[in-house]
Amino acid sequence: MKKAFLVLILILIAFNLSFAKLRVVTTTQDLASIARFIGKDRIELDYIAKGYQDPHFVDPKPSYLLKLRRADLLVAVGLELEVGWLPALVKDSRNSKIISGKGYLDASEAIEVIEKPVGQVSRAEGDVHPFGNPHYWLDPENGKVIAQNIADKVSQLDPANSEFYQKNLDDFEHRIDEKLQEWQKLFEPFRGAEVITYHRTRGYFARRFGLEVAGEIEPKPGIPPTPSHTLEIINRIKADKIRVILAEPFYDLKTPESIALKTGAKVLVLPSSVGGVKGVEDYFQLFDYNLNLLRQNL
Amino acid sequence: MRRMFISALVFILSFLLNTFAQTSTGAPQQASSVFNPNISVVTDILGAFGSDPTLPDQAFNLNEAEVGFQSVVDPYWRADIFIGYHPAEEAVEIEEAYFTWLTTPLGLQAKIGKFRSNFGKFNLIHPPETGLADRPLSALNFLGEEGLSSTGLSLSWLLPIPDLYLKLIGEVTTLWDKAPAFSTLETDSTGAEELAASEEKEDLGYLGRLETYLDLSEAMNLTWGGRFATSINHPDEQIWTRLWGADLTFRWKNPRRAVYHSLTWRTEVLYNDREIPAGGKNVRTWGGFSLLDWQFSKRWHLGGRFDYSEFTEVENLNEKGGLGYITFTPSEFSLVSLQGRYVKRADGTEETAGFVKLTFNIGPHGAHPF
Repeated sequence: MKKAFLVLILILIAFNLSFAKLRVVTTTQDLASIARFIGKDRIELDYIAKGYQDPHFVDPKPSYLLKLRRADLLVAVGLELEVGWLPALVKDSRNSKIISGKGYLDASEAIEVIEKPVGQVSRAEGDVHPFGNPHYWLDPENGKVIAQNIADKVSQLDPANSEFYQKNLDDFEHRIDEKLQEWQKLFEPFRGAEVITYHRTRGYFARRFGLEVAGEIEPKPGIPPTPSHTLEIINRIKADKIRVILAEPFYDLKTPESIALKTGAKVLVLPSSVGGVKGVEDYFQLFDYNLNLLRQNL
Repeated sequence: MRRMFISALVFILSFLLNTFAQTSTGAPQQASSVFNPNISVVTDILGAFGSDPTLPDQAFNLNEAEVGFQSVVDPYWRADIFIGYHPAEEAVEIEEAYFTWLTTPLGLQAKIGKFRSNFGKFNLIHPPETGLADRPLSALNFLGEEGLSSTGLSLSWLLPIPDLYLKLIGEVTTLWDKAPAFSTLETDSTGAEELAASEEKEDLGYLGRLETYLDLSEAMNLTWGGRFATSINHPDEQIWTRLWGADLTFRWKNPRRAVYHSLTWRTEVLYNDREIPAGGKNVRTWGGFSLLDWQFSKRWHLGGRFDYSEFTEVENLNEKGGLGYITFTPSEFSLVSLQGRYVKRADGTEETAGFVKLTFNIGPHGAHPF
């Protein structure tokens, strides 16, 4: 009886291990959304920074270590977006898989990075990203690259489900192609429209959908608006009859609204991440929401 | 024939030596800078004014310049080295130099080298990075000007309890010979007082800490911990000090407005149980501080600290006071702070001091402390 019980326990353990899902943790909700499209119900998924948080400034709370210590794979945006908080968490995670790199994916691999600083790079230019603009997920074409990177990595770590992941990747890419056609068709009348943004977030989005970023509320990345720079923005808006000022949900809207009052432009709170506002629950809804709001106000 | 053979051999050898020499003296292979450590420098400048006799003689002082070198050594270790220059003492000191083992099993993490001891949260912060012009009275009176720091081994264990952050830390180090709690104040032949500690190799410092963390909501959280440190406190006698401590940190920060507003309230207390020579009654004293920091705007902080401290070798004496400040942070990498301090000493004298503190940080982006 004892022997049978032990055998049963061993079978249950083996069963549990063989059906243990790959545990994936991403730094942002955008990466989590794409990972969910790839892994569906065959991965256990969690993320650290919520879409309504500024991903540059996340407190490395001990509760995040509880997510990381069991992770089989950590997926990060990279390009130093998370440099202020992720290294401390990884260092304390006690997870040799993510520390060694075997269970770590920088999702920016193979991304064509824009706005790489040229010449001498220093903090005289503000909180610059020395490797280029890290907000690359805001181009749906880059969403395909991210998905490919995730699919390849999870296939490597979980070869038994490789075919499943690759099929989901194909479906995701197909859906991106279809939606991108639809979005670009709907947004065609607004190509060339000028916008003002709060932070240098929208480079990839603007490039894809034909917007012109005429200026930023921040005089330099991470530096709060100054009176003289604000005046420049006001003059630019008036001169070019710019209709909208785009700001992420985590920014203080006092300066943008003050500019809007003086110029007649409208402040649009546009999420730059999945989960940034209600109704943006996945990667596709992020673009649906952004483009619809822009279309209604340009 | 023999001559031809020798000539050929010399020619071949010369050719090979020449080739080897060319290879070894050719253009040197440039080592990749990718593997260079992260190098950072924190500089702390302090202006100090007032009636407090403990203030520096000069109105403005380069308090400390600290250089950090941090890098992964290999798949098994990472190294963190911090070297501080203290102009007042004209001393260069290794503040910390330790290796962390990256691949310890079972949720353990081992640290070997010289490091700041896990005696509370405040003790872990390097002096230039505290944001304060001074250290709390209890930290000075019990732990010393630089806090508890020593060389040895630290082992921490993140207990494998799902959804609960519980960390257990144990440390064995050389004893903390600059800490008043673990040394004895002696008067030398000239009448000068100095701390004397055991120099026996086997007299080590032992420290344990248990800490936990709780998210009260997505905006509020609590970290609290208890700790214990013990070591010999006399250069000639085997008598011990046991130092108990507890700390509690409350944080509020709305993640939707994280860069604009926050509130941090940290309280640390310690209890000193000191054996004294000749088997007399133990000295039992305590001290602590409570620090409140309010970030009311993106680049502005207002704060204050209340101090209470008794002393490590005598009872029934205490000093208390407070520090208030307003701090402007032009960016994450610099700060300017105006601070004012009041202390009522054990003998009843009252001292006031004003400070202007400037701190600059250059180098790769360090992790934000938590």
